[in-house]
Amino acid sequence: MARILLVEDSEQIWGFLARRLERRGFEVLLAHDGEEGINVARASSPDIVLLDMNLPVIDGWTVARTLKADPDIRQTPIIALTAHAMAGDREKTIQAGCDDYHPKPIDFPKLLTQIDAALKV
Amino acid sequence: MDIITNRMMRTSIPLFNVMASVVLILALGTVLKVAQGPIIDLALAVILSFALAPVVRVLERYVGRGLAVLAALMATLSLVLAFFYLTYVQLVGLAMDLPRYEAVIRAKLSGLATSLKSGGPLSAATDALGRILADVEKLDGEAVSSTSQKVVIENASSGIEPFLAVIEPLSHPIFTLVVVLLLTGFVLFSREDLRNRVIKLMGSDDIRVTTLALDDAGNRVGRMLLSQVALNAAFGTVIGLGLWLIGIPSPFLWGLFAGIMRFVPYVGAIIALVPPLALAFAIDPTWTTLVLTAGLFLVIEPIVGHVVEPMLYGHNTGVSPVAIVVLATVWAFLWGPIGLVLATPLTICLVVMGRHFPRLQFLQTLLGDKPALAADESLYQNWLLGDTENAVLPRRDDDANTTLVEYLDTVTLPAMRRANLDFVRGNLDATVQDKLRLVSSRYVETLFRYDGRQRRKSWFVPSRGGHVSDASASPAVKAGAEAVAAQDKFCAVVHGDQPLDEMMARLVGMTVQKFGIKTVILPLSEAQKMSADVASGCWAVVMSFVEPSSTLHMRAYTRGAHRLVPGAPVLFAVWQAMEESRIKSLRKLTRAQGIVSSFSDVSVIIARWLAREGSKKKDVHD
Repeated sequence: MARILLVEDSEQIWGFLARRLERRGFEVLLAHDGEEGINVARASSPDIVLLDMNLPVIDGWTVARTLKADPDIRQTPIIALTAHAMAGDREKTIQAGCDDYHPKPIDFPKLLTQIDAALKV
Repeated sequence: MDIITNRMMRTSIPLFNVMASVVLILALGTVLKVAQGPIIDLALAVILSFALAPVVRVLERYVGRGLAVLAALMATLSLVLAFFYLTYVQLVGLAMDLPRYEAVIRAKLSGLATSLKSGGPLSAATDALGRILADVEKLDGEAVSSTSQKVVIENASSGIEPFLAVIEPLSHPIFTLVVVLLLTGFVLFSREDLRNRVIKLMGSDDIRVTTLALDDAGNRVGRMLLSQVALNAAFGTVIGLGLWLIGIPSPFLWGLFAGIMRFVPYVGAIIALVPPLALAFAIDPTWTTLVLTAGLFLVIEPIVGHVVEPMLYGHNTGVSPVAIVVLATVWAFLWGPIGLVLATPLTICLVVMGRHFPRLQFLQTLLGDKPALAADESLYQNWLLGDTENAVLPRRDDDANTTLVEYLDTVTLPAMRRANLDFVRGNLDATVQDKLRLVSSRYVETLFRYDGRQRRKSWFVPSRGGHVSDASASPAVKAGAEAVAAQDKFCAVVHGDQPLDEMMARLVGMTVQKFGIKTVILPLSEAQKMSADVASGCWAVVMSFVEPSSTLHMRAYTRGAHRLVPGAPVLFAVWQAMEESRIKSLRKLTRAQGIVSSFSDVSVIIARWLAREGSKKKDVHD
């Protein structure tokens, strides 16, 4: 089954997301800040990355750019999780190198369809 | 690049920036100082072309550009020549007349000396002064007698020498005048071409917007400079006329001097007062002329500075007074007196350019008179500094007629989002987070206090009868609020556990209380334990979250609230930036009766629910 790297600092969100994703059969790797996110992504080559954009240590924008600049993992799709749901935020995340965008609060069924779509590509 | 190097690079970028800025400023200063001759010519030409551009634009409608530029330049040249000629004539006249004033000065000084009591400190000073003057005269006489023997007149018959003697001191000003006028002519003639080069230089993506901005900036600078030139010329004329009426010698000269000196910020007019005052002292045996001359400046300068100038420029030139003084010092240091005169026009040019070009915005921030931080930025800064009292006071640029809800939406909410962003990015350590909790709580208390005395402070518009919006003043809303109050019901405001959640909940409570409804503010964990007895007194529930984690959580909370307080409507206040479409989809997903992300929407929804209560009450009575 697909391996998902969830880079998220909010305990409530990673607790709930990891549980639900595992229940759906995904293998979930966790990272709680941007730096850990990059290290885990490099070490374990996940199939997809769910990336919060507002992270401690290194923010999500830098993480996205770093991962997309790395030839070994640049193919891994990234779905940005942001607290902003304003016009233009989607474009900003795509520009930073993310493949899709999911505004918070997380709508789990919708996120699942986005994960499926990204994995198929 | 690996993460460690990346992080080190990021931390050292500010240092590099500072070093680069220092080198840039030093290099710029050196260039301005070393090459001051041509640069002053260029600066004069640029200022002159900005000031003449509106004139040329008008003339262009009737004649070709070449003729228009030529006419403007000729007019400038004639004005300058006329000024030079009149200045020369007046100076010569003054020099011829000066010996005549000697007797008056002596009489006045001796009068002063006798009027002072002998033995007093002042008389001692005048005695000392007299002795020094006598010594100087003696020295002068000796010097003249010793040097007079060395004077040898050679080749007095040569015809070209006197001519050269006149031409030589004049050659530099004439050369400068010609260069400045030529440069001005070129700038005026090919200003579109120059503008396009500037656009290219700025590497703008949007040529249309940049062109419009540059044209607008040029027009504004031109209008401002022209009006300043006109105003100072008028000031000089009035002063000249006044001095002529008073009877000061060479009034035109002093008028011109005053007009030019008015370009020097703050002290210019005072400096311009000195020579006419000295003359007034010298020519009149009485003190009347002196008093009249001082009076003329003391009346005209405040009228021009505080009445005419604000009328002409709007409020002011948009330049910070501190920046003007600092820059005047810098320009004076670099270029001497001419730098002092050019300081204001140059600063205005820089600020207007800064206002119109994103890349030059730092100039507007540095030199403009607008507060450097936006209201929400300075509020967040005050939170970090722990200054809650100042945080609530209205600022100079705030609209004094703002309502509480407008203030919360435009200042508090953006400040809270800034704070939250720093929080989630891990930029606030535990102690700062604790401080933020404490300060935000004190901030709410201060806001309550200010809101309470709104009528006296005349801030926070006393919205009709204590209501928050026009909608809340309707009779149905009032009736609803009365009905809820009569049943002794309250509105529960439930909040999350992030550092700013409680503050936002208390502000929601404040907004709801404006309707005359009691509020109970409690964290989610306590709300879930609420007894059925307490819950029965709940009229509505507002769930306030800075950042709720998921729609599933939100739906679970709504379901929990409906179970605990059946029939009570549930409103979700989610304090992140959201578009209308997102709000609609959240309403469907969470099954709450309302989703809002601003205080004005909180008050609109509460008003709607109260109006419904009001109409229910009416139905019962009917």
